[in-house]
Amino acid sequence: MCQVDDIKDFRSISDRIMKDIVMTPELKEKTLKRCKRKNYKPVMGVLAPAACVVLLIATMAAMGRFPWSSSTVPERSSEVSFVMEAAPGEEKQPQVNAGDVLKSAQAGEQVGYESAEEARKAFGDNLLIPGYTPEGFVLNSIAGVETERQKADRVVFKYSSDNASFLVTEEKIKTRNDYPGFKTVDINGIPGYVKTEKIKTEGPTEQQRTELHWFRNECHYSVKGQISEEVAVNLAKSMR
Amino acid sequence: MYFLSVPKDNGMDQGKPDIDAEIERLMNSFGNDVLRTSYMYLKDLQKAEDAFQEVFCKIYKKYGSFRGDSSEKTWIIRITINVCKDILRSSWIKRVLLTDKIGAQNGLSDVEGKIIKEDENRRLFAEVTSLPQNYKEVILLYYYHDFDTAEISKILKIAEGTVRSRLHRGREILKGKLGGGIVSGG
Repeated sequence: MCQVDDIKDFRSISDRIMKDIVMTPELKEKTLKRCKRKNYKPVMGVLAPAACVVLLIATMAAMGRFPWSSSTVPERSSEVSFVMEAAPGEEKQPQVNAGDVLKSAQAGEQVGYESAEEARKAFGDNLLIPGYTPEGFVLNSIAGVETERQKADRVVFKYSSDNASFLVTEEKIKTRNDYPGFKTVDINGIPGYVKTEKIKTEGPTEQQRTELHWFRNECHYSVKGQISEEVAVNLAKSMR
Repeated sequence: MYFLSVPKDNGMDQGKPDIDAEIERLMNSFGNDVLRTSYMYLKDLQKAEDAFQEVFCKIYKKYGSFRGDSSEKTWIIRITINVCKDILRSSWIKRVLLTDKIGAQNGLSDVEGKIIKEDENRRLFAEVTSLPQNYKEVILLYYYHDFDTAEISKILKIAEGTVRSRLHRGREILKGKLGGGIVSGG
């Protein structure tokens, strides 16, 4: 007879019963797309005042009281998930609608590249290409932000495995940042700044999350995500 | 040329996280917890997947406002519980024992001694997930997620004494349905 004492083992009992109920790659992908696409509406309590503010701003803009154009921040879409934060010292570029991606390049447009060489043509010779793909990972995508047609000032390589992901980001900058609390490592004779933290997961093993930054020729390079310090540093060293 | 949704890189330079990478990390770490908690709450796999998506969309939206005053898991499970409650409020759900994916697994065990124990375990699982909502959520948070009463109090925004009394009452209800010895702990 089932004993209520068995409730102490409820976790293991439940996990056995629910062994087929797991987050599938399809559910994960669908959810990520939805997160980036979903246009969140403010709660009703602030909708009316928010609408009034927007109306007021639009009216003043139409009357020429502001130097802005009449275009407003576009809705979120899967293509606009790449928020183009300005590098330090630069003015922010206006975001563009996802539909504009297909048109001739406008300021701050997000594009995808089919190869690292194509990305290098847009970014310039300072684009460092990773020498290999870490074991267990695949290169999912290479994308960039082009400020002029076929001239990128940021390129991102995205890698993922079954249960982890990381990014290699390269961007043109005017000022460098400090990384207090980071450890200094050598990246082919250049100082790199690295920090790693452990993340608890459902399984028996812990995951690591690493951030590695370095600078060269007015460019900022970083490797960030669910990889170890060793993998991040070795990958950085392979980049040419 | 293909167009991709590339995660934003707003610069860990300012100490801000890369939201897309963080969301993926949270999904990898807590995705199954969210999905299974939703399933136990809603007892419907499709609704659990809907809840899963809604939970991570909320996390995506709110990530910047997470102050770190609780663990990430506490925060995420709190959002999960609230999303499940919203779904329950907005849809008609029949309070039945498991009928879909899990129900279909009945009778799969093939060893005589195991069959009996498996059936008992399924019965326990079914009874827990059929508890009234107030008792079910504290039982799930305590026995499935291993939160202590203080953390449960924060997640559900109720007094710790209320958590303890609901745990006790939940166990009493289960004892009445399942029989058994004295429950210890909690």
